[in-house]
Amino acid sequence: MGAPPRNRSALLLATTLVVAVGAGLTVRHLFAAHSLGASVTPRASTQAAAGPETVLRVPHMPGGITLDGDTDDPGWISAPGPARTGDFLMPDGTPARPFSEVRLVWGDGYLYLALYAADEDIETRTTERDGPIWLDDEFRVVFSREGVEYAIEVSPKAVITDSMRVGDGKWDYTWNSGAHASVEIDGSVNDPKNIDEEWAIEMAVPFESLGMKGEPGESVGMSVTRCDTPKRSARVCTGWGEGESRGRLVLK
Amino acid sequence: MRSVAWLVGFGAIGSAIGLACGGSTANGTAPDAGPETSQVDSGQAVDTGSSVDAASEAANPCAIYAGPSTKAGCQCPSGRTCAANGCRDGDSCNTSTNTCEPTPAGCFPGTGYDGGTAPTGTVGTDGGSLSRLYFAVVGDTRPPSEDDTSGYPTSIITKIFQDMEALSPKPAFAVSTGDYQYANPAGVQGAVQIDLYMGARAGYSGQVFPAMGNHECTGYTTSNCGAGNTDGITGNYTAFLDKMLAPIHQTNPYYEVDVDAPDGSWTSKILVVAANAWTTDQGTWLDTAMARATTYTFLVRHEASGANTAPGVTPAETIMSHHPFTMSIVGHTHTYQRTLEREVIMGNGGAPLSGGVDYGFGMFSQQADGSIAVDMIDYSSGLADPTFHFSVKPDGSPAP
Repeated sequence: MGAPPRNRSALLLATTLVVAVGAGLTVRHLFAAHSLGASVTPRASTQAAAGPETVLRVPHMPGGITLDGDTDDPGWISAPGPARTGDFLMPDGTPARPFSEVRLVWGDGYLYLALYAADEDIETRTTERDGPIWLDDEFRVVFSREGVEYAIEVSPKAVITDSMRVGDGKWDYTWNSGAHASVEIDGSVNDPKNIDEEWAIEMAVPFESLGMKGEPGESVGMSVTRCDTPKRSARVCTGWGEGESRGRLVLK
Repeated sequence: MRSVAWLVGFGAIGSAIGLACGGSTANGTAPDAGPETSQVDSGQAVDTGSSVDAASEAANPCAIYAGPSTKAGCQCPSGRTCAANGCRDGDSCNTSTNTCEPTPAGCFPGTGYDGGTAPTGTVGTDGGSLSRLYFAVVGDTRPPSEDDTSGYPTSIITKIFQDMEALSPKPAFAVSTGDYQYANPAGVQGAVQIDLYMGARAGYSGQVFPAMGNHECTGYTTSNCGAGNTDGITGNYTAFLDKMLAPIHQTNPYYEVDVDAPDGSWTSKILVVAANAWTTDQGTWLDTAMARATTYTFLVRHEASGANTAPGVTPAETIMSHHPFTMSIVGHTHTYQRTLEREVIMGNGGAPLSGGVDYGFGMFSQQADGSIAVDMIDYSSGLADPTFHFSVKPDGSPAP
């Protein structure tokens, strides 16, 4: 049980709509990031040279998880506790501000992610699936496995844009991850006149869509980028598992 | 060559930037290397003769930035209140373009804090008497996510209170600006987290006067707890009352603490406001309390005036606008920042940081001229942030 329902900003989104924007979107995506002065760290490529990896050993969830934006479920809080990315980093390696973190557990055929974003000014305009979430405050999670990258972007309204590509090919936005996401927000979206506190996404990604079985010992590359436009500042993107110290998940 | 007058008389004279970024304080040590230092009445360390040559300035990317306390050429927008550098909201002035920008990470790492002479007297649960006001502020200590007790910032808040205890002179008392937990309001983790907080708080031997945050209600900024209010009595609210207020003999989340000079030469009141347990009774209490004249009046509340979705913010601000006060001390936003002439955010007590600053605690120190000097002690270095320092008169207006 949490706060009274009238206060909840929780949204549960099924992954149903697919917009076939395809390769053109990739170009727009990069252009948009550039034109906004984004500080985007290089995205991990499946073809990139192998470097030191940051490995997160993800525990099997010790209890149930209800995808409602709250992470007060036994699956999150019972021992041994989830795997954590810890502080995201700025492109120069310093701790990210505002703070971001991801926690992970797995079970029942899903990888569960709790994505947290401290945010004084929550901004998001995209309302349609596979829309230009990269113009909003967002998380972008990229899984890489066997030469294929799977990208799932999620906004503070739990809108999802997902895509995949083979090697360094074009991103295919017709791909549907089947991910479900819910959000909990403390703040007023798109109202820069007041001070917001944070938003958090609880997301379930089916292993099947990543070509995985969901078994102990399986592993998948993962990087996460969080982009935010603070008040009075340029858009900044911070991340985990990117660049030279690439991230990898191993299911325990 | 650019001469440096290091924060003479608190501030704003000359360009301290070269020293702050690339000089003797750049490695996080006290500015005791190089030029001799001396003390001024305000207690701030003063570099009396440092200079920075053009070569080192060119090599130092921080050198083009003037912090808020340094006079610079940025133009303050008409009708707005700006810092000495012509900027607002803690921004630095880029002196190469005369534009205001957020202070780059790594610049202005800090300088030694000297709180002056140790105050005499005592402050108990119901206030007290001191030779001079000298107190600490810490706010917002919670994990990033609900019921994430394993992610509680225990080590951070423990160090903060230990640093507070070790500060010389030690603060006579402390106030806290709210949010000591992030827990399901119907669960039990809130009490567990407050126990962690109180365990850390035990590292400081002075009295602490806590304000209530939104996480002491349901967690939502809009929430309103207490008997008869929308969200009623939550477990988080009860844990706050039982574990943090009961030890200081308070039964309401709003209360007053008076600290006066032994000879009556000055008086002060600290009014702790609960914007997430707002009632008309609290409004009446606040109006009555503010109407009683004291030399200094400090309001301690969780949400800043800009976080106006909290039920008590706007009504409290309305009442405050009818009375004199020195400073409103708030948290909620996980950073530190002087947001208005008479409002300062201190919410960097361990909760996930939202601004480009470090954890730490604030210091309020009464000076010989009656002004109140405000500083932030950095968690990592133990040094004061010179870009944040400011002083106010008892009525909240800027002190020279």
